[in-house]
Amino acid sequence: MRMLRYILRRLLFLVPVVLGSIFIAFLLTRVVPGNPIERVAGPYASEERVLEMKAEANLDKPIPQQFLIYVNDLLHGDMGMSYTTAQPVGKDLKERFPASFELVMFAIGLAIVLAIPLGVVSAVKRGSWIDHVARVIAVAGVSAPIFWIAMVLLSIFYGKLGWLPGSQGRLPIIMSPPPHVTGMYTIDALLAGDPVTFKEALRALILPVLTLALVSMAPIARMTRATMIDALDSDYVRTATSLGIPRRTVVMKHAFKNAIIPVLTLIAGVIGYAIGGEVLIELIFSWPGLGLYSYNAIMSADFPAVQGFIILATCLYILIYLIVDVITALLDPRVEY
Amino acid sequence: MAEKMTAAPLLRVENLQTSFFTRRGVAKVLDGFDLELRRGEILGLVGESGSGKSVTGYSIIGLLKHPGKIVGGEIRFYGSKGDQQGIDLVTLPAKQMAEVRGKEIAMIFQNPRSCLDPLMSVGDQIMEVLKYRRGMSKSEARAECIRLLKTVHIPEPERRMNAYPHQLSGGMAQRVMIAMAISCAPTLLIADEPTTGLDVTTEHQILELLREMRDVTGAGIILITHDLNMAAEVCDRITVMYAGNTAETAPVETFFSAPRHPYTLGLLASRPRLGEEGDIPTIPGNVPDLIQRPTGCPFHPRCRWATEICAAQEPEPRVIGEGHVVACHHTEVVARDVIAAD
Repeated sequence: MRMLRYILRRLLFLVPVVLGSIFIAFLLTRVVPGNPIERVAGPYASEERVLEMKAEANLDKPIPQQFLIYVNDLLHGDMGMSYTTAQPVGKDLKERFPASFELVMFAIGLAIVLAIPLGVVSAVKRGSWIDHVARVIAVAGVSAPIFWIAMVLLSIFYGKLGWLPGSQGRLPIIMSPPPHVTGMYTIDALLAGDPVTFKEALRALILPVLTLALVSMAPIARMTRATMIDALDSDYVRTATSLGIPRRTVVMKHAFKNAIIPVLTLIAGVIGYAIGGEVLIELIFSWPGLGLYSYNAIMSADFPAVQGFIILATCLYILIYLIVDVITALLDPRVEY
Repeated sequence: MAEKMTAAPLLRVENLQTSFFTRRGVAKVLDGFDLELRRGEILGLVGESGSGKSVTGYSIIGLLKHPGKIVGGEIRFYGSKGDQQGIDLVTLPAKQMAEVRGKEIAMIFQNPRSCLDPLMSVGDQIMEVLKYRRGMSKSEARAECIRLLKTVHIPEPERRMNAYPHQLSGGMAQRVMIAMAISCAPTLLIADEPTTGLDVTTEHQILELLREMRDVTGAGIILITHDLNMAAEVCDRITVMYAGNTAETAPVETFFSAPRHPYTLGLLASRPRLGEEGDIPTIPGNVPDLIQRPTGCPFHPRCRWATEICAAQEPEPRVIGEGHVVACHHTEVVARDVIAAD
């Protein structure tokens, strides 16, 4: 009950933050040079036509008024029309969200599953070969740019070996997506009992997921190693050891549980970073998700689309932090909620 | 008291050498340290910070942290089995040492609140020990946990079991630590500055509790402290350490009435006392660098009785009275001067 109240209170916080992000998103798109109407109208449109289109999009009005109109529309669930896709932004985002979600979730899931054990083992066996491997991955993951990792993976697994598809998107062109349930092709294919589509959807995911996972692993493994070393050095671990509690229990029950809490918060940050890193990955792999959408929107000064993406990303970010904070509160009796 | 003097030894540390292999060089933190503890006895191990008191505790229970290592000597432990030969904890294989830890030898530390796992209720932590070390079922462990908390005088144990360490005061947390430490009825309890950070009233209660535990369990206790008043309050005997050596060991009455080591005299003189005016006399100089130890007696650079022999030769411990052992070349001179000054 108290937890529910805590969640509601945290959700209430969402309101000012989202309002702020709407304002900034709106302002940024206006400040950045570029006129969407001229682009949409094309070089041969008449002066009157351009003015007419500007009026239709309310771009002829003063900026404060434009803002009020936009917020009013938002409150009615209308994020505006995209100039590039000529569809409501809300619909665009909804269509593209599952593609990105599938990619990010697989990548973060893989990163967590690999990085946390790696960090734990390298802390427990400090100076062992696993510790050195972890360090190499951490340094590489932090310092190598995303696009470079993507290029290397593509050139090996697609270019040289030909095992995996290249920059094709979510499925080979000749295949049609499975019936829509979640929008995530792998899951929808499984639900439809379609192993061929499932296999192709999975194959298409491997390289982008691997790229994002590699980049996300580095900070998680490093943080896990550091917090785990602190925990193993702590007074309560010394107490447990002095009482003859088996080493395994000391490491997993006392040290790990304490070490994982700060890592959870870091993971929230990594997911946020992945949402940003996604833009590049989607570009390289022609992945029709939010990243690619926002990239195109920015390039063509598609104000409503850019604003929509920023607002959605903000909400996602806050939601992820909320989830992490709830888990932390459940794990740590010291957290007041 | 007389009975205790003749009681069987529980622990005999001989010529213990523990070094820390640092980047600067080898720090000989314990350099030929001797100590003897009898069953049911409380021994005060006193000395300045950095004299190697805690390292002695960790060496005995086998919890030395890297880069610390026992490089020589013997820790003979006679344990609960009443073994005549005893076992040498220095050479004991790690697996057997883990068996000894908790069951035969337990330790309590300073800052008790940080010594408990912040994510687990204190009841769960005590029951964990009972489960792993005494093979108890959940319901047995629960009952025993309540009994233990009562033993250490924690009110409302059924309710306090569910408390988390951050909800306890330092004194309560130390009581929980003591409950955990005695849960397997160890024969040796090492208390490393157990009252640091506690207020005076609580300090007194914890010391009282330690003495009570000794009376109840018959365990021998090594009380590590820098506070001579505290040692005077509960200890049967006191061993003074200086730079990893035993300077003086004496029964508590002798220790305060007829101290004979110059370092002990300095420690006693530098105790703050009520009603006395003027500055508290301090021992000149500092604890020596353990990487470049002074030759001979480690205390000689700070000693007003020091002569050439002190710099040249390390003094052998000498028995000068009933249970009174001093490692000093000039015991007689010091004794004469002390008596003359009185």
